Amino acid sequence: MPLDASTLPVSPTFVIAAVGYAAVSALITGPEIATREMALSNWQATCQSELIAELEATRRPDQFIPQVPDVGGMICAVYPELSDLCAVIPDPNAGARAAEEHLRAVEAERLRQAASGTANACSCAQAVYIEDTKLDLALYAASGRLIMPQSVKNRVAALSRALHSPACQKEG
Amino acid sequence: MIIGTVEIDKQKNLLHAGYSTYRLDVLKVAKAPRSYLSTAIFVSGALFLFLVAFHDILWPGEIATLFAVCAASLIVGWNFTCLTFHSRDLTGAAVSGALFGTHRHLNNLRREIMEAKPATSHEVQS
Repeated sequence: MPLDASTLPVSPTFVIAAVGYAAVSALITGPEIATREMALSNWQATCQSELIAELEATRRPDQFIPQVPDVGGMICAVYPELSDLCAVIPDPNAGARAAEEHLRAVEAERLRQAASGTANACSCAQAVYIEDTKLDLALYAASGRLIMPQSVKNRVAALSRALHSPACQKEG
Repeated sequence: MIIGTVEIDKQKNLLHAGYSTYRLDVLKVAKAPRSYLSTAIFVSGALFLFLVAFHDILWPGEIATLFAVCAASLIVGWNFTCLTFHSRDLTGAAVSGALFGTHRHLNNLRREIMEAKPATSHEVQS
């Protein structure tokens, strides 16, 4: 049955305006308001520093290198003319020290690379949050902060969930 | 201002409005209410609420634009309307949107049209 506009309790232009306002709130103002509020709360910086702190917590602890006296080195320090002899006597710590230095360098590189991805992970969390809570954000924007859904009230928790979602774990 | 042309032909008992012609004697009611005022109040009210609620995160240009849109919406809603006719032959169904224009001109035109009708039942509403 075709809809007769003249039988509606409100004018068709009113309905069009209301639908338009809802669409603009869902597609434009809701996401934009959320983005600006997150920028205002400096969430991106907080998120990055938290991720870096989490990464630092996973840092491999430095290994203890037993300090066996380097006899060759000591002889050379006292008698430089016996350098040939020094070269013959090996430093017992050299291998362990080199291995530890290599491992520390590898660990530092891993942390540096992981830290460089934190900005992407935080941006991903914002995008996922906006996508997942589109309707809530539309209500929040359309009502002029009169309706505050749970995902907006507890935005930090919702962002944290988004940050640890599978989509953003790949970024981090 | 009236969008389109209007001509009342009393001799032939016809009303030429835009691309349509109506027989004056079958027009029962002519209305020129402020049809868009409720929509305008809704739009400007919603935008004003948005403006007040989010003024802290809006740029000055956006605030100015929203103010301008609110004012323009109210001005258009108050002044712009459409003249509709009801015909006995159409069993009361409205010929909506017969003519668009400013409320002042269409309201005067409504009177002229009904006064030009042959002396039958005159029912005029605004």
